[in-house]
Amino acid sequence: MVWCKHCGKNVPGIRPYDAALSCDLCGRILENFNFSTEVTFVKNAAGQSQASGNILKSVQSGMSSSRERIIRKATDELMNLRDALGIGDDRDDVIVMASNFFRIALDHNFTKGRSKELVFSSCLYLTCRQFKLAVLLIDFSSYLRVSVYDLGSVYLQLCDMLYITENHNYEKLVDPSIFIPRFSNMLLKGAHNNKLVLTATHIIASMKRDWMQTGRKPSGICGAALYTAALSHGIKCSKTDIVNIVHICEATLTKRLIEFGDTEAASLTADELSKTEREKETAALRSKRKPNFYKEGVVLCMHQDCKPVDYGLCESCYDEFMTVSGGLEGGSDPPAFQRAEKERMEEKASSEENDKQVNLDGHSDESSTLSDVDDRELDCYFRTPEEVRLVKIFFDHENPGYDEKEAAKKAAGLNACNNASNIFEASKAAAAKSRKEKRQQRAEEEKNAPPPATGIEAVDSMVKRKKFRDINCDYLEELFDASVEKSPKRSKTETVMEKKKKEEHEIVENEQEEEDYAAPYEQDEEDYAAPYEMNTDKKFYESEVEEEEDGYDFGLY
Amino acid sequence: MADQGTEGSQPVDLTKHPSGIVPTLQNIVSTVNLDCKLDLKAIALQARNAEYNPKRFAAVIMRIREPKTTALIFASGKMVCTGAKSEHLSKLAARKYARIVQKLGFPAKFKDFKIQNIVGSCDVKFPIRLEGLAYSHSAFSSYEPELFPGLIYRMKLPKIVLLIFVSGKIVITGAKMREETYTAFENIYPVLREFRKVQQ
Repeated sequence: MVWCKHCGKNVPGIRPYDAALSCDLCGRILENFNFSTEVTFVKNAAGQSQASGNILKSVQSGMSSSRERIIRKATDELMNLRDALGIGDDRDDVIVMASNFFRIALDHNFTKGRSKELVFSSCLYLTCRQFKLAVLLIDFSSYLRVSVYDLGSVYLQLCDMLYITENHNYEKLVDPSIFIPRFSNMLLKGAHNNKLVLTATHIIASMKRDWMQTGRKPSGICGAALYTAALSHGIKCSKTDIVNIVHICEATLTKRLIEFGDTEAASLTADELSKTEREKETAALRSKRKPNFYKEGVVLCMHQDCKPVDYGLCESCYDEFMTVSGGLEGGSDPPAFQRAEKERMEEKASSEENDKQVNLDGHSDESSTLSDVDDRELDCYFRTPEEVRLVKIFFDHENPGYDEKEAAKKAAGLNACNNASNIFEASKAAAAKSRKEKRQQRAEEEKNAPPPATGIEAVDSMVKRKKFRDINCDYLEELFDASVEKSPKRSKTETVMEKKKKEEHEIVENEQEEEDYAAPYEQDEEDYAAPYEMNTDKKFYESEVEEEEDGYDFGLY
Repeated sequence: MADQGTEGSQPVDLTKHPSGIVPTLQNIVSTVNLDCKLDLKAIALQARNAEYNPKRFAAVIMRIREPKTTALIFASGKMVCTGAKSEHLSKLAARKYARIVQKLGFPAKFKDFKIQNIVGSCDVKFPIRLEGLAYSHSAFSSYEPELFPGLIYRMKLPKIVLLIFVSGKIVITGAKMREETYTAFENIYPVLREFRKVQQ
């Protein structure tokens, strides 16, 4: 549907022949363009066609296979934990919530650095708290054979991580009453006794009202209540049975029983206790107190949109608070407070006897060299040489190899410095070696340089080349005489070569005479020009030396 | 709690402490740098008040009687002083330890003295229902009776951790100045009064 100005209403636009968008009632053109939304393909560097653009990942993209595997394993482990702790084989909702908690923890990398079992247990325990199931942390720790405080610290960190925003609380407080049915079933080995459960629940309610429950482990409270209720109903059980069921120490159970014995409810019978609890429960529902500190209309709990009932709590939180605890009115003082009161009384009595007070005088001057400290006061802290000797014997006996270890540490430190200096010296030596090598190369080059005597030899070899062109024999003989004086050994070979070449020259001369008469003049010119060139250029000398060597080879053959 | 009594007998400055209760400082942890390498064996052999077990802990543990404190002295020259009851006593004790090390032949100085933590405690003298505090201040409270009998309250401003017990005793920790301890207690006191036990 598109808005048409002419018709003044939304109309179904049409695009005839993929052209402009038009109104099908009056024919007015609404859009004069038609952009394509098809996928376009481009060639990449390898010549392959690929869709242009990039793919952006989002939540709908799904998870990688490894993450899915992790979550599947987590679900299986959570099911095993649930079955092992007897939460209920049909409680799939518990598994779903625990898996969701684990998924959030996995996204926050909460599993890194922590044992997987502890993370699974923490997620499952948090779920049990949400569903108010009768499972304690110590049940998980007993099953996993880990310390309850290790599991507790991981659980607290998980709760802290899950507080995504402030004033958002996931965990709920534990009500000890929820454990009574489970513990009574364990005590009676499966048999159900409703009277026992009811009496124990009433005892816990009176304990709450008497401030016995605040700050105490729920297992201890349940143990004492269950033991008292069982005895009052004539069920034979010992403290050891209770201790084994609720996982507390027998001394703790005894202490709780003594504390309960000091309250008024302990002197009542089971029936009287039930009547009293029902009356008090009815009275509590009627009376509500107005807040005297917090502002009207402002709630302190997480439900910001509700109205406060009392203590800055909304109605549901207030009811939970009154259920979990016994409220603020009535009851005895908590046992810890009573002990504190006794201590205060004793302190008052003792303080009246002793009114002495010692005031320390402060030193205002503080020098950086510590000279203001009284040295006489510190003399008692120093040992005599004899004592030092005896203590040294004891120390060496208790710590064998201590000096060696310390020396090794120091040597390691020194070796590090030595290694650095060694590297420096090695680099210097390498530089010196490179210089020497360069000098040796230069010396070798100088040695290999041709001696000045080769000039004459070069002239000889050059002359030998010109022999093919019928050089003057007289000039050649003069050079030959000079060479004989300087190098008598070579004269023999030269003479042999000259004989051969003379024969060749005779043949060549004969041919040339037949052809032209001007040829001898050209040869003479070459003879005059060659000596000047040879004298000026040294390169010619070097090349001639090589040719001499070749000449020797010819001679040998 | 004798200090509590002595402070109670003196008139309390109500402008600074509207609640009328002054927290007592129980422990102060401070650090100081002696700025020289130390031979721990030599210190342990010559000082009568020192103990050194390198297998267990890599520092000399030294104690003095007045003020009654304990110091950890490391080979790097760093020292930790614990157990003092006031800032002045902590510094005095640290200077005494430094003087002892100086007299043992090391060129010890006294640099970078700093108070790292102050622990205070006080008693409000009425029972507190911790569950109510946990419900109304859930963002800052951690109350797990299975793990710890008190309520752990993490105050944001000042950044202090308070341990609140049903008997009315409060422990205030994490402060680096005395005023932070007092401010934290004055902030929490009205809330504690809200959840005090009501007598019939």
